[in-house]
Amino acid sequence: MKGASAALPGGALGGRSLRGRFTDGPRDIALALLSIAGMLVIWQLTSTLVFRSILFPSVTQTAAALGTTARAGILPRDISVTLFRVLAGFALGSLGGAVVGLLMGSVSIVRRFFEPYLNFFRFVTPIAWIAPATIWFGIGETTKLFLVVYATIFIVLVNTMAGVAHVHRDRIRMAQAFGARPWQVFRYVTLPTSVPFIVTGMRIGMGNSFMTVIGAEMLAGNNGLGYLIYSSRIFFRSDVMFGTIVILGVFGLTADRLFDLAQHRVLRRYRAR
Amino acid sequence: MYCGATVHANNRLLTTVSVAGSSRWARIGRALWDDHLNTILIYGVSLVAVLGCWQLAADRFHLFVLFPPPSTTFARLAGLILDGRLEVAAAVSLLRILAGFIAGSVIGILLGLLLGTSRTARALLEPYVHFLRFVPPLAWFAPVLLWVGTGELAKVLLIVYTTVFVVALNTMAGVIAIPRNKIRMARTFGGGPLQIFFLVMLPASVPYIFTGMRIAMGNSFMTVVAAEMLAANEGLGYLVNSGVLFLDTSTVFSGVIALGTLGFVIDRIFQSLIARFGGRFAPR
Amino acid sequence: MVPSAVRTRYIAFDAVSFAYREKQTAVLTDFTLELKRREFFLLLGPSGCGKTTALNMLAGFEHPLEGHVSVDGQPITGPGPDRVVVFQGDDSLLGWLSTAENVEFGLLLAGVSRAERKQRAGQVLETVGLAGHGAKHPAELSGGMKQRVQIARALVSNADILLMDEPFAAVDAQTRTILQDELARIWTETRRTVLFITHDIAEAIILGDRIGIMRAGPDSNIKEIVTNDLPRPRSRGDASFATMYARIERAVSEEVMSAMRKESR
Repeated sequence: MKGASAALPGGALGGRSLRGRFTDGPRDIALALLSIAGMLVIWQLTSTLVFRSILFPSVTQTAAALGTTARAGILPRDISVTLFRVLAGFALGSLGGAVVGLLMGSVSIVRRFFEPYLNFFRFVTPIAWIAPATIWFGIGETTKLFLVVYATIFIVLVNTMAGVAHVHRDRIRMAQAFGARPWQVFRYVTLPTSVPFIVTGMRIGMGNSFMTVIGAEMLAGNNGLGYLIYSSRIFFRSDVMFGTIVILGVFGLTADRLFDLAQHRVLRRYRAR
Repeated sequence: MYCGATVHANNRLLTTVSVAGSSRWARIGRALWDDHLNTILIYGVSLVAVLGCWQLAADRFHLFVLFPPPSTTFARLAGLILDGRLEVAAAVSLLRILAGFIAGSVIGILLGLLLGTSRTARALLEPYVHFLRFVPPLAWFAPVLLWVGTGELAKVLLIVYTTVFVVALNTMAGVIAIPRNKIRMARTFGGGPLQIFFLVMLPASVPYIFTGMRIAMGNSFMTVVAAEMLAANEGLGYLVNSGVLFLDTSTVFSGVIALGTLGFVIDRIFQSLIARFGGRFAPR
Repeated sequence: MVPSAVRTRYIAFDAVSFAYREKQTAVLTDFTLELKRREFFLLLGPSGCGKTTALNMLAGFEHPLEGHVSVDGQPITGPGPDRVVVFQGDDSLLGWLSTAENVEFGLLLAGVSRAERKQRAGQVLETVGLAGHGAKHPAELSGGMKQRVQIARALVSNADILLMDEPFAAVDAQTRTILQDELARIWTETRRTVLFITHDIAEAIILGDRIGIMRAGPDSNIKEIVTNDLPRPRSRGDASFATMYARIERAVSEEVMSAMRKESR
């Protein structure tokens, strides 16, 4: 895998999972489980015996808080609200990013027309836009949707363009030699080659979306997981905070693993090299 | 990163017609046009078009509050630069980022080197790195505020968190990518584990380390701005937020422009660092 | 009682067998070979016959499943400065160091002083024809030059045993013949013990004192050893060269055919 996907902005992690020389044998899995179990024990002991403060919840307290909020209906509501925002914005942003990216990658006039804005706006963090977005759209769903789309679209766009640029000249020439017209070259050569790059961009964009949604909910929201964490601060409910953080980690991890799987499927099928 | 020149050559759906038999000056002129003037012209047209539309739309629809025209925005931007407020805000934000970024990078590099070399360490620590990496740093802001208050430490800690995992994972990937023959060669010459670590593994991982740092820098920007909006009274995030309170959208836009420019410049710096050192230090 | 004659063997493979843990088939089975001091030994065979595995075991990178590999009666436990390796390709070179620093690397690890390192590296760079390129980085060198750097690095360490794993395989044909002749010349001057792997018969004849022809894999071992007493320096155009070539070619093509048959099954 040395040298594969070297052009991806995601770096070493963008394009492949870390299955290096070390295989995940049963010993490694056992060590990992041992490590987690040990950590939980240490956590529980330090929080109940050493720190004993409301600021540092124990494992049992965190679990209890999760249970309470779940039963009270708060947790399911917040989870679904946050998930909806992430997924909706992510889908829209990915679609837009892929389409514009393919366009910009293929037609150089379009690319040069939009390039200055691309290079500028992609460095403005989405959260910075919460201010204007709030002025324009208020504190409803539109604001958050706008932010998530913004967070996703540029990274997918940039990766898509990298994919289009990655198409080997010889393949295009081959297709042209067989009499392919420009749209056929696009459909049968450029598009398949770009797909793995688009998926990579989406994977990174998913992470961005998450971060943005949580930030937006903390700053200008009244529901969602970000709001839940931040509002717990006022009541010093660190157990709720920790519980929500665990949920966030699980979601992020699951989403990334799904993308990893998708990437492997896609890479195998479209084999960018 | 995508290579603009490659896109040029490979994927032009609109092909340029070459003129055969033209004079030498015509050919030079055409080359200049194709490579540079062409681009400059289109950039120029693009900027003029967009700014023009923006100005006209703002005038026509009287959106001075919601969407101030370029004239107002740039005037405000100039004002902020001249009275120093923008510079101070930028400096404060940057300092916070740098402090956390440097600390986080050092820890991340060491952690990544450890994870890359020791299979046991990797098995023990990887679950945490992978789990924590996906918790948005901002989520930790609430507990951190409870623990250390609303001062500088809270923001710096957040940046450390943002940086550590990305840098560690990229460093680890770099170590794993080192060609086996480099290590074997060093062992053949009698190199001990420490020698191999510092003389072979660390240099060979440098491009990956830089890539990780570049990503982490981008994330740090995101995090710091949000943190400043939540709990600060200085910095670019605060500046942008203050604009919201007074419906001073041109200040908001100025802050956004400053953020975009800063981010772009810093990313370019990283890119040139990677280009300069990455080639030489590449694992191959 | 008459004591039996004791032969001191230099490098010895005794009934070595090797297989990868995940695979069912053995790469080498009952592989036996002895190398004499200061001889240039060629291991020749089709792809996949396990020649690299044999070299790796002598280098100490792999361990035999059965049998032993020993030098001067001592079994090999791992890599060491007495057996220096020239690898195929350029990924053992350190791109962030200059050519001279790459050559000095083994000396650096051994704690040799800076002045002595520089002096010895300078000498050996001249020997391999890279004088004046010491300040360049590997990325600026051609494929042939990079292999010379590896040879220089191997020579400067004064190790008795040189292990070379198809070092010229990735180099273009013209450069390859030049490098072969140069290596033959350098070896005549320095006389180390060399184990050289190739699948190129002409290369084997130019370089080797003895040429070991391997069977096709799996379960491979030495089929035949041909002694090459053509006088040095050797020339590819000579009639004697052609005779030796034909002889070796017969033996090798049987194995190549056999390997291809196994592949297509």
